[in-house]
Amino acid sequence: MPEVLVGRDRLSEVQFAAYVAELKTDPARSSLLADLLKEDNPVYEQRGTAATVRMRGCILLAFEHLGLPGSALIYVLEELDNGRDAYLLAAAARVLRSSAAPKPAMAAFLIRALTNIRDRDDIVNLQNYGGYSVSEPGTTAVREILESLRWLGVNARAVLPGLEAARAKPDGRFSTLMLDELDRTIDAVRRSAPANESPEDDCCGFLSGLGAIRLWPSSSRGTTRIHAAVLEDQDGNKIKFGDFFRGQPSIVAFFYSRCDNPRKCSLTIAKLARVQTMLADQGLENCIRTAAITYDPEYDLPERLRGYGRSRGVRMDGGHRMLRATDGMGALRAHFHPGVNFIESLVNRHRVEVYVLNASGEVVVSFERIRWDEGAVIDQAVKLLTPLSSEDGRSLTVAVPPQPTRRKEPHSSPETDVSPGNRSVAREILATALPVVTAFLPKCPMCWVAYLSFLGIVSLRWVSYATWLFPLFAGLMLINLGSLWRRGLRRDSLAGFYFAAAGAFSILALGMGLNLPFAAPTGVVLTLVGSLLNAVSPETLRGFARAAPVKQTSNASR
Amino acid sequence: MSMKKTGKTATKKRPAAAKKASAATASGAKAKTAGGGSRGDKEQIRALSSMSGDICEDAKKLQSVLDMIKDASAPLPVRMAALQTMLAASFSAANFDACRPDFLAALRSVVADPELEIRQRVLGILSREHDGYAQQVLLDGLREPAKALLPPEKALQLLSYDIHTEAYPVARQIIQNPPNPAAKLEAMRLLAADAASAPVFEKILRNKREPEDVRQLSASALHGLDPQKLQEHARKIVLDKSEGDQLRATSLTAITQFAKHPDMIKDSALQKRVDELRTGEGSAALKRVSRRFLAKFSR
Amino acid sequence: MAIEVSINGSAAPGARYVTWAPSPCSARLQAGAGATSPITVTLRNKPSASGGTVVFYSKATAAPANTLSLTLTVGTPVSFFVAGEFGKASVSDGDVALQILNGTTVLSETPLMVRIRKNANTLTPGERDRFVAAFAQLNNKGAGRFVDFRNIHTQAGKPEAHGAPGFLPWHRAFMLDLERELQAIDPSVALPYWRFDQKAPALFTLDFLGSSNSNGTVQFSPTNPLQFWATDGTPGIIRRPLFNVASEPAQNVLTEAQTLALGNKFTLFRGMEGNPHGFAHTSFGGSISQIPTAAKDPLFFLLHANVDRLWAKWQKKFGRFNTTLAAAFDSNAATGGNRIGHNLSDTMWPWNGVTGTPRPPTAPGGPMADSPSARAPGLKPKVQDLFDYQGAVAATSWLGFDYDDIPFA
Repeated sequence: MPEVLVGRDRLSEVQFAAYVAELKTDPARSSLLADLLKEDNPVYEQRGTAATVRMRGCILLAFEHLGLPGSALIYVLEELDNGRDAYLLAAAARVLRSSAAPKPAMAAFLIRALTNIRDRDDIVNLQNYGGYSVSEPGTTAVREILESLRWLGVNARAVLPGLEAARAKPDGRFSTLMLDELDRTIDAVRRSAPANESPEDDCCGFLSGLGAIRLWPSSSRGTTRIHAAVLEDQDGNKIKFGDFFRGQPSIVAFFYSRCDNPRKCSLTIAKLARVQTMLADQGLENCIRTAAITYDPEYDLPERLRGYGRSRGVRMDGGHRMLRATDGMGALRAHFHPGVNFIESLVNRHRVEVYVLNASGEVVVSFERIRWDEGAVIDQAVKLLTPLSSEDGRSLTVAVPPQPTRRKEPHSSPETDVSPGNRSVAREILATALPVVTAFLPKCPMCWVAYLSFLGIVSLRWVSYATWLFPLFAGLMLINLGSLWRRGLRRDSLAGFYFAAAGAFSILALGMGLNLPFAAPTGVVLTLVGSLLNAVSPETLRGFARAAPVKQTSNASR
Repeated sequence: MSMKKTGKTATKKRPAAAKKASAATASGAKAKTAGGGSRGDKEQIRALSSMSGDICEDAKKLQSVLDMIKDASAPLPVRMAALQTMLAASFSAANFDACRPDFLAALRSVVADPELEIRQRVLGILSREHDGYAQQVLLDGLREPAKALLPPEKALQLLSYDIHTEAYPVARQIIQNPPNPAAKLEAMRLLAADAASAPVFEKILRNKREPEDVRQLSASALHGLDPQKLQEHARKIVLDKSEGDQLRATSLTAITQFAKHPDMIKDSALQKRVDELRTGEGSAALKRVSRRFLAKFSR
Repeated sequence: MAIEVSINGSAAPGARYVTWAPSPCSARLQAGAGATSPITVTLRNKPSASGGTVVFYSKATAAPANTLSLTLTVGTPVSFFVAGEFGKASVSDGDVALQILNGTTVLSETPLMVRIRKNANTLTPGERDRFVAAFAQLNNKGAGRFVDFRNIHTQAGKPEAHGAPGFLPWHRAFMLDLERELQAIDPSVALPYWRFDQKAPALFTLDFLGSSNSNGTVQFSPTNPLQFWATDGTPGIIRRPLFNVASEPAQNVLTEAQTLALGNKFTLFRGMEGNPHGFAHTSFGGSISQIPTAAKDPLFFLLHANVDRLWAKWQKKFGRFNTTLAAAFDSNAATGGNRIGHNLSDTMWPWNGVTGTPRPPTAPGGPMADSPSARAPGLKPKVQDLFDYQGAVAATSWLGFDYDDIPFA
C-alpha cells in the first residue's frame, strides 16, 4: 500500500478511483485490489459509510475486467450474504459472473441477496463511480442478481423451486418488468439441463476454501498486553481481559448498538443468544464463556449494552457478558484484528466476525464475513475441552490448555481449568498437581539450564576440585532468571521471577559470598517456589482457593 | 469507468438554487404549498390523494405521478401532493418495493430543482434513506456554500439522519464559526452522535457566555453521551444563583427525570435550594419543575 | 370487618384499572373480629367532585347500575363486575374509589382508575405531564427500552406491518406493547391519540410533543423532559409540518366520517392504510414521513393510536369484533390466504421471536409486554387476538384499553 493512501495525505476519492484503475491495468499489481477490500485497510480511515460504499464498489467492479480471483470471492459472497446497499449488491452480483467458473453454492448466496435487497432496491449506474443514477438509465441490484442466476444456469437448479414459488405467488415486490426478468431466469435455469442432471453441490468444500473460517496459527495468536485491557460489562463491572478470558474457552462476537444493518450486529447478537441456549442445552454454559464486545465503546455505555443484549435474548451473568473496552481498545484491535474501520468514533464499515478463544484467551478460530453457523462455532469451542469421567459417571469437561507445541516458553506448563461446580476437590488438586509435576520435568534446553543453575551451584561447595565451574553455574542461573523475567511479563505476573531472584541472591551472595550456613538451602527453596509460581497459571492457583465454595454452590444448584 | 461528479446536476441551476436557499424559509414555503391553487390544481390534488394504494400497479399511472414531481413548470402544490402520494404509497402499497427504484431515481433528478420546497422535501426523503448521492450533495454545499442547495442548518439537519456520514469535521467548523445561530445548533445536534465529542459539549455547557439555547442543547447532547457528567453539571447549575432560569429549569428537569432516587433524597443542599426555587422569584417554569422535584424526592 | 376486593382477578393494586368493558371483580368477607355472616353490603362510587366514575354489574351481561347489593359470607368470594361509566374517565390514578358499605358504615374503600385513551388535544396538564414524563423515561436519553420500538418499525419489518391485511392488528399490538411499557413506568398513563382530521393546537406545544421551528427541529420547554429525547444516537426530533398545526387538520387526510364510510367490509376499510394513515404521516417532513424513520418521533404513536381508534370505531359501527365474520377481516381465502404474519392464525413478528426468511432477520424486543390487569393477547399474539379488544365476544380477550369516544360494544 503506498504511503500516500493513508494519513493526512490520503487519496481523495477521485485519486482513489484512478489508483484502482491503474491497478486494474497492471496485472503485476492487480493482486493488491483484494487487499483493498479488507475493512481495516487504512484507505477507509475517516471515510463516511457512503464513501466506503463507493470505494468498495469501484474495487469490486475492477474485477469485472480482470476476472474475479479466488482471493476476492469471499468479499463478493459477503456482500450478497449480508449487504444492504443496492449499488454494492449490484456490483457484487455482476462481478460474480467474472469468477472462474459457476458453482452451485453461489446460487444460495444470490437468493439470499435477492431477499435482502428486494425492499431496498434502487437504480444504479455501474459505469459511474459511486453508481448513482440521476437521470440516465441504469440497472438494479435485483436485475443483476437475476442475471447472475441465469449465468449459473444448471448450477442454480437447487434454487429453482424457490424461484418458481416466488413467481407463482408474487407478493408485489417485483415490478412487471422484474417479473419478466424472473420468468427469463426460471426459463434459463430450467433449460440449462434436465432436472436429473443437477451438478453435485460442493457447498462445504466451496465454503471452506473461501476463508470464511480461519484457523489462527499459534505464531499469530500471542499478544501480552491484551490481558491488561480493561473491559466493562453490562452492569458496570470492570474486569481485565485476562481475568475473564483465561481459564476457559470463549466465544466472542463483535457488534455495536448503532449498527444499522440488521443482518450484521443485530443478527450476530441474536445468534450469540442462540449459542448460549445451545451451550446450556448441552450443559456447557459453565465450561465455555461467551462475550459480545462493542466496536463503539464510548457510546455503548453499560445500560446500552444491557438493553441491546436483553432485547435479543442474551444471557448475561458472570460467564456471559456484553462488554466494552474502557482501557485498551488498541490492544483489543491488536489481539483480534477485527475487520472494522471508523469515522471519528463511529464505525463506517465492519464485517461479521465471531472468534473462538482458547483457555489462554488466544484466538484459535475465527468465523468471518459469511453468516456463521452456531453449531460449528460451538464445535470449535468444544474441541478445546476434553471429557473427564467423574465418580458418579457424570460427564465432566476440562478446558484443554494450548497445545505444548504452540507454546513458545520453556517451563511452560499446560494451564488447566475446570468447569465450576462439577469437580471434586481431589480432582482439583490432581488437576493442579499434575502440571506442577510436569513443570519440573526438564523438557527443553532451558529447563536444563534452570536445574543445572541452582542444583549445580548448590553442590559446588562439596566439589572442591571444581570451583572453576562456579562462573558457569552462576551464568546458567542468570539465564534462568532472564527466562523467568520474560515469561513473567507475558503472564502479567513477576512473582515467580522475584522468588527466583531472591533465591539466586541467597545462593550466590549469602551462600557462596558470605558463606552463611542456611543461605544455599533457602535459596534452593526460593528458586523452587519461583519456578512453581511460574509454571502454574494464575487461574489454576485461584482454582485452589475457589474449589470449596464452588462445590457448595454446585450442590446447592442441583 | 467515468468519474461522475455528483454535484454536476446541482451546479446547472446553482445560481438560482443558491439564491433561493438563502432567501426562502421553510415557513414561507409552507404557506406557498398549503394555501391557494386553482380549482384545477385542487382537483388534481384530490385525485392524487386517492391513488396511493394502487399507484405501483399501473406503470403509466406511476410514470404520470413521477413526471408531475419532476415537472418544474407544474404548480408547486400539485408537485408536493404528488410527492405526498408517493410517500403515502411507501407506507401502504403492497407493491411499493417494485416502484421504489424509479421513485428514488426521480427524486435524485430534482435535487437541484428551482423550488426550495421541492429540494428540501426531496433531499429529506433521500437522506432518510441514507442515500449517498444526497449526502454528497449536502456535504458539498456545506464545504462550498456557493454550491449549497439548502441553507446550512437544513443540510446539517438532514445529514444527521445518518450517523455514518463525513459531516463531523464540517460540523465542528460551523460550531467554531457559525453562519447563523440555527446552523450552530444543528451542527451541535449532529456532532452529538460522536461520543468523543462529549468534552466539547461539557465545555459549552460550562461557558456562561454561550446563549441559553446553545447550552440547553449541550445539556441534551451531554446527557446522551455522558449521563453522569451531565447530572454533576446540572446540580451545579441549579445551585448556582447566577445561572438563568431557563437553564436551571432544564437542569432541574434532567435531575428530576433521570437522577437516582437515593442520591437526591440525601442531597440536603440541593433539596434546600430547590425548596427556595419553589417559592422564590424565578420563572413559573422553574417553580413548576421545583415542585415536581420535591414531589418526587421529598424526604 | 375486613373485606378483600379483587379487581380483574387480582387483589394487587397494579390490577385496579378498568375501562368501559365490565371487569371481573369479587368481594370476600374475611374471617376475623367483628365478622358476621351473612351480611348485605352495597357497592358504590365514593362521592367525588372530579375524577372518573364506575358502574356495577351483577353479571357481565346485566344492565349497569350506580350501586349494587351483594350478600357476603365469610371466606367466600362473591363476584360482580365494574366498568367505567362511559364519558366519565379518570384524570389521575385512583381518583375513583369503590366503596363497600354496610348500611352507612364504610367497610372498605378500593381506589381505582378508569384508564382510557383520550384525545391528546384535551388532556389535562397533569395527564399530559405524566405521559411525556413516562415517554421520556422509556426513551431514557436514547438508552432506554424505547430503542426496541424504534428498531421494530423499520424497513426490515415493513412486510410484517404494512401493505397487507395485518396492518391494523399489527399496529394495535405495537401500540399496546408500548402503552404497557409506559404503564410499567407510570400505571396512570394511557396512550393518547392525535385526531389528525382535526386541528390539535394543544398537542404541538412546547409542553407536550413540541413545537417545530422553521427548520423543522422540534423545540421543547425547559420543563419538558422530552427535550432529552434521542434516537440512533442523535438528540432531538425532526418534524416539519406542512400544514398549520394550530388551525388545520393534517394535509389531505380523509375525515373520520369519510374513513368510516370506506365500506362495511374489512377489505374496503383497510384502504385507510393509504388515506388517512399514509397521508397523516406525510403531512410532515421529517422522521415521521417515512417508514424507516417514522418511529423515531413520539408523535408516531399518537398518530397510530388514532388509526387504531378509527378501526375500533369502525368495528363498533359495523359489529366487526368477531373474527368468524368474513367481513371482519380480509382473509383472501380464495387466493390461498395472505402472506405470513397477515393471516388470522399467524403469530406476529417480532413478539413471536421468529426470524429468518420470510420473517425479518432479527426480532428485537422480545415478547409482548404483559399487564397486571389484562391477560390477553399473550406473549406471542396472533393476528386474531387483536380484534376483540373490549372482550365483547369473549371476556378473556379484553386487552385493557378503550377510547374516550367509543363505548363498550
